[in-house]
Amino acid sequence: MCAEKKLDPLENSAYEAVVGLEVHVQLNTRTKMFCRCENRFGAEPNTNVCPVCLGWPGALPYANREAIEQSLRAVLACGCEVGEFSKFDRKNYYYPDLPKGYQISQYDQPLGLGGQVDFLLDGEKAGVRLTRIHLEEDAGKNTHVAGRPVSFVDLNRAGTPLLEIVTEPDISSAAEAGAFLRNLRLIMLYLGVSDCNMEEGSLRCDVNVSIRPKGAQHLETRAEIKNLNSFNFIEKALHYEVSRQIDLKERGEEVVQETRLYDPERDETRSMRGKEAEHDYRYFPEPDLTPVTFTREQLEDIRSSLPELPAARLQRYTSELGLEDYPADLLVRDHEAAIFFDACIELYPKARSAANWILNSLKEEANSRKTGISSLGLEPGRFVDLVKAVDDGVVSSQKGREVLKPMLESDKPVAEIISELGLEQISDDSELREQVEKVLSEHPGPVEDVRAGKKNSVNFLVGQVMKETRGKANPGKVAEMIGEILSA
Amino acid sequence: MSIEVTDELVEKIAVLSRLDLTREELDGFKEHFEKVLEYVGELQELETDGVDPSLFTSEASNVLRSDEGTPSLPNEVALRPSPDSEPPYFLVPRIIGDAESSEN
Repeated sequence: MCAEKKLDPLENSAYEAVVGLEVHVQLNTRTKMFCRCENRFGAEPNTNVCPVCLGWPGALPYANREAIEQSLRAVLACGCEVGEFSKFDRKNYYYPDLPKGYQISQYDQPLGLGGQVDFLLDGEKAGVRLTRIHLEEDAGKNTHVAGRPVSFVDLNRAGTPLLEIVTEPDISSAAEAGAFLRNLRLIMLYLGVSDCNMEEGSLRCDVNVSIRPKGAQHLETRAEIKNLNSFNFIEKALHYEVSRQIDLKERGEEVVQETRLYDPERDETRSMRGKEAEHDYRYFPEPDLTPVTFTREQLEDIRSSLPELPAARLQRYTSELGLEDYPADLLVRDHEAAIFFDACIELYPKARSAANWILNSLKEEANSRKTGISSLGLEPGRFVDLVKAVDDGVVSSQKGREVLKPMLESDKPVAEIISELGLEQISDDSELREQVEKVLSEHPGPVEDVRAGKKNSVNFLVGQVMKETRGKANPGKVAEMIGEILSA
Repeated sequence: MSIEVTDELVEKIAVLSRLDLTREELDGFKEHFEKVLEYVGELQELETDGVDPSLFTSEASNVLRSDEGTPSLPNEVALRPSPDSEPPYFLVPRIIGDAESSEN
């Protein structure tokens, strides 16, 4: 059983999985949803707290306009319908990370209803319908230390704005769930409403899973797996849960509707049985907040100010700029790379060169520094100078990579770095010819081979010239020159 | 609309409120709930056909603030009213299960 878990349990199975997601996205406002405390990850515990988010008696919430605007951007980008009226409701339950004894959420009049997220799954078009998107406040964070009969509570996160995106049960595999989520994450990144950092919990996911005989239309009893915060865990939890449910059915047992937790260490889901999991949220309208209303004009303004979203950008890169599908997709998937690329081609329209340099050299530099492209602090203009220098033959493509590193460490003009490092390509034909002739006279054997028609030996000779010139020769030109000399 | 306050209802509310009550306390709450509902029940006598439900006590809408911060409480002040703490954390009896957050 253990070894099987790694495989997709649905392969060759008589069952299919029916999966719906509840995705939580932390908005990146400066302050919390209903108070003016900072909305920031990583602060000393319980230092971004105030009477409102601590639930002290008499303290009243005051809604953050920016959080509502960010939410509307997300809602409109996902194609939801937005009503002209929306309100907040109290969801009542007791837990130590919820100091008020209720969470301010939205019940029957959320910001957005419906909508759909489209994406590519193994090159095929796929789509997942959304049920709704609503805005709520996040809870605090509990930690436990082994061997102590207490839990530690940090309320810095309590009251921070959280968008909940609920899908229809349209998903049928872990791969599809992953593709949907990656795409949803990209949309949020392009909108600039969240950093979607899964390690820091700003994108989390609950997964509703049931199985049914292949081809059936009805829905069977589902289990909910809570709080998954990595793509890897989502996939593993889904695989585990689907095989668990298949095993149950094969043994003639029933799936129980319940909440389960995924334990990454044991790679299994476990029931959260008991009274703790018993809920009756007794929603009612939040009397301490006014409803929010929008005019059609306001919504149109937001809609028209939305940035170009991933799907449209991919389309533009391939059909307008002529990039191949693969590099175009790589750029779009890396939001920072895509923004940098767009800034570069404004200055230098050779899209393929810019894309190549960004995806190969620049990303490598960013990766080796464990950061994103924007954190490298490189001006697109200077980067373009390098790409141009290579395109124009001033420096070889190979040596160009050596220029990049010092460019990131100083503000010196690219031309200056190239000449300081002595990396200019030999552009003087007579100088190059001298080097080529020298190599030919030193390697009579390979020269004979070339004359006898062995193409590989040309490469060897080119390599020798590159070595002699410490990479400063243009290899294409060298090969051409060797051909000329030897055929004369 | 009238809600019958049964023992089961009171017990359920106690569970939802994470309260461990004695039989006497449960009976006391039952009586109390009945009185509250009876009092509120007087509203049922009013003629409300054709009146939209009113969700809020004021007509105001869109009372929103700018996304600007003000200083938060110092940690020691935040922890002071809590029955138990171990700075910088609040302490509670160990939560059954291992959920990092209740948020859902």
